[in-house]
Amino acid sequence: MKAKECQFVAEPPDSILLPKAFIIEKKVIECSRVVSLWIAPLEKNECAFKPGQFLMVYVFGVGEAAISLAGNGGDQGKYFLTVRAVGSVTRAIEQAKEKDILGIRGPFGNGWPIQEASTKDILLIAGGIGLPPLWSTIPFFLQNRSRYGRISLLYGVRTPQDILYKDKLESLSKGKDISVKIAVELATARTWNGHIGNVLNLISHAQFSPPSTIVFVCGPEPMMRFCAYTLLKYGIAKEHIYFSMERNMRCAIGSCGHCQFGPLFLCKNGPVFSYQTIEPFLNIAEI
Amino acid sequence: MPEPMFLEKKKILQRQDFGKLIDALHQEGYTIIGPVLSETAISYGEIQSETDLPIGWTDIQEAGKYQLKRRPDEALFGYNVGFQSMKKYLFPPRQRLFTVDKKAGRLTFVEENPQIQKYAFLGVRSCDLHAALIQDKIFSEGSSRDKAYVRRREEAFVIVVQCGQSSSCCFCLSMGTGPKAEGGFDLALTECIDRQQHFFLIEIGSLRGEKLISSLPLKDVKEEDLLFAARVIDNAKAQMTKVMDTKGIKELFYSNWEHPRWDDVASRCIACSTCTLVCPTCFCWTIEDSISLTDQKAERWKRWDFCYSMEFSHLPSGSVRSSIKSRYRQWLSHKLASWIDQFGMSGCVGCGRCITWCPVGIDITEEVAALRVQSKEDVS
Ligand SMILES: Cc1cc2nc3c(=O)[nH]c(=O)nc-3n(C[C@H](O)[C@H](O)[C@H](O)COP(=O)(O)OP(=O)(O)OC[C@H]3O[C@@H](n4cnc5c(N)ncnc54)[C@H](O)[C@@H]3O)c2cc1C
Ligand code: SF4
Ligand code: SF4
Ligand code: FES
Repeated sequence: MKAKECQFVAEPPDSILLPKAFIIEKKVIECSRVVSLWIAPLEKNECAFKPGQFLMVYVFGVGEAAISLAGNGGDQGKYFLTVRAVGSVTRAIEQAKEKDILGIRGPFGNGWPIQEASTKDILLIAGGIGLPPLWSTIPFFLQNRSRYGRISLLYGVRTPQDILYKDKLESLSKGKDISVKIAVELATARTWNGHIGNVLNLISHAQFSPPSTIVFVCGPEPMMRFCAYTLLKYGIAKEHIYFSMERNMRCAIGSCGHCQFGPLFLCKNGPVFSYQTIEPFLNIAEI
Repeated sequence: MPEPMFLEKKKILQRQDFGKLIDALHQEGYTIIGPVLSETAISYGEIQSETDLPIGWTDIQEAGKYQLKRRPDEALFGYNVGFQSMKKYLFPPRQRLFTVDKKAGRLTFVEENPQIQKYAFLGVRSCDLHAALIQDKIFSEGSSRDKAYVRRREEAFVIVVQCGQSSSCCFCLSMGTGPKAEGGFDLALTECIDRQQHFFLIEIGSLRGEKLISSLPLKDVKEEDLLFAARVIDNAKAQMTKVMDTKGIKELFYSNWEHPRWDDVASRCIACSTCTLVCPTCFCWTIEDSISLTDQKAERWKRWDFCYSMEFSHLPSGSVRSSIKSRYRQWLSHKLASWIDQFGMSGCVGCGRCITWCPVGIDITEEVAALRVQSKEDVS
C-alpha cells in the first residue's frame, strides 16, 4: 500500500446517527408477544422506503433494535412495523402505548430486488417473525400485478396462535392475485385445518416454473438454508434465491463492525443477499 | 493537507534547535501529542517541552514482552512503537453522540457537536501513518463518514519520525507500510546521531509544514546528510527479522475456515481483547444508552468495542461466535483477508503491537505461517 494524500469530501447535511421523533399512531396485538405499530414522523416528511429495508427503533433510555419495514399500512405518511418481544428493547416496544414517542433512524439496507422479479414467478417464503419484511413487497406486486407471473406466499409458524396478520392473510387468500399457503408445525387436525408440518413442505404445493422463478426468503437461518437446498433441487438458480439475513446491528451504516458476515456488512451491503453471494460463508459455523 | 510538490523539499535542523520546533507548534495553537516515558513503557502523551520526550531511552520487544532500556546515546526518538497510536486521539474511546430530553411525553434529540482539539502528532511512525490512512477509509467515506473524525483529521498536524531501528515484532516491510513514510505527512524527520553530530533531516510534505518551519534556523542539505539519513533507514530495515508472507493471503483465509490451527490458537488465546485494543486500525464500536435518574434525560455514547467479547455478536437466540476459536478467527481473518474485500487494502500495517502486548505471546505472523501448512488450497 502506498501512502496517499488524504482527501475529504463535503459534509453530508445531517447526522445519520441521530434519531427522529415518531409518534405511535396505532398499536395492535398480533399474538402473544408480537405487536404491530403504525408510526408517523412528528416533523412532516414522507415515509419513503424500499421493501426489505429496515429501521433502527429507539426507545427512550432503553436502546435501539433493527426492525424491518412491514410496509406503510396503506398510508404514505406512516411506517408499519411488527415486533416480537425477545429482549430489553423489543419488550419496551411491546409495552409502548399509542401516542408514545419513538426515535427512528433509517430506512437502511438494500431491500428486495423487486425489479428483477418482473415477468417471473415469485415465491415468498416466510418463517415466523420473517413475515413482516416480506409483507412489505405485497402492495408493490399487487399494484403492478400484470408484470409478474404466479405469486405464492408460503408461511410457516409453530402453532396456529402464532399466525401474524390473520385478517389480512384471509382477505389476500380470497383474491386471485397471490396464492397464500400456511403450514403449522405443532397442530392437530382439530386445531388447524390446513397444512401441518414444515414450511418447506409447502414448496411442492406451490405453482412455479423453476427456470423463471425468483424466491425471497426470510426466517431463522437454518430454515433459510434448508429452503435453499430444497429450491436448488427444484432447479432454481442460486442467483434467484434471496435471503434477508440477521446479525447484531448497532450502527446500521457500515461503521461499527457488528453485523459482519465474512466480508459483508449486513446493514450496508444487505440485509438481502442472493444465495449465490452468501453461500461461501453460510455453512461455516460461527462465522 | 500534504502536497506532493513538497516531497522533495528537505532541510536540516540541528539538535540544539529542536525545542524551537515545539515552540513553533505551540505558537500555532497545537496541543502536541508525542512519545512520553511512563513507568513501564513509552506511551503517547502531551508534550510541553523537549524534556518530555524519552531522551536516551529505547525498548526491547518480543512476543508477549516489552522492556525499557537505556540507549548509549541521547537520541530523542530512539525507540520502537509503544502500545498507543494516534487512534485514541482521532477516534476517541468514548464519545457522546446525542442527548435526548423528554418533556410532556415529547422527545427532543440534540446531536453532540464536539469541540475539536487541534492536535500536532510528533513522532508518528510510518506504520501508524498508514494505519490512519486505513481508518480514513472507514470514517471519512460513504455512509460511515464521521464528521467529528474528519474534522479532527483535517486539523491534525502530522510530524513523522522515520524509523532508525526496528523491534523484533515489527514487520512493516512485509506489509509495504514502512519503515520510511513517503507522503501523507506535514513534516517528516529523520534523526541522525553519532559521536560527532546530532541533527534532523526534515522533509516538507505540505504548505502548512513549510510555513511552520519557516521561522526555524534551518540549514540547507548537503549530500553527506542525505547519505546519513539513508543509513538510518537502512538500519531499521536491516534489523527487521519478522516477515509475513502475504501472497494470496485472502484466498488462504477464505479456503481455511476449518483449518486445525484455529483450534490450536484458540487453546492459547484467552480472549482478553488486548490485540484489538492496541491495534491502530481496529475500528469496531458499540452504542451505550443511558438514562438519568429523573427519567427526563437520556444519552447515547459511542465506545470502542472488541470482537473478542461474546456480546459482540449477540442475537436474541445467543451469541453467533460463542467459541474463542470463532472470535480469534474473526479478528485475524478480518484484519488480513476480509478487510481487503471491504476496503481494498489489508487491515494490518505490521506494527507488531498485537504480538508484543499479547499476554500469552501469540504472534500473528506465526499463525499465518501455520495456516499455510496443510492448507486446503495451495496458495503459495
Ligand atoms: C435487518 C433486521 C431486521 C429485523 N426485523 C425485525 C422485525 O421486523 N421484527 C422483529 O421483531 N425483529 C426484527 N429483527 C430482530 C430484532 O432486531 C432483535 O430481536 C432485537 O434487536 C433484539 O433486541 P432486544 O434488545 O429486544 O434483545 P436483547 O436480546 O436484549 O438484545 C440486547 C441488545 O443487543 C442488541 N441486539 C440483539 N439482537 C440484535 C439484532 N438482531 N440486531 C440488532 N441489535 C441486536 C440490541 O441492541 C439490544 O439492545 C430484525 C433484525 C435485523 C438485523
Ligand atoms: S494486526 Fe497487529 S501488527 Fe497488524 S496493525 Fe494490528 S496491531 Fe499492528
Ligand atoms: S490473541 Fe492475545 S491479545 Fe489477542 S485476545 Fe487472544 S490472548 Fe488477548
Ligand atoms: S450494524 Fe454497524 S456495521 Fe453494520
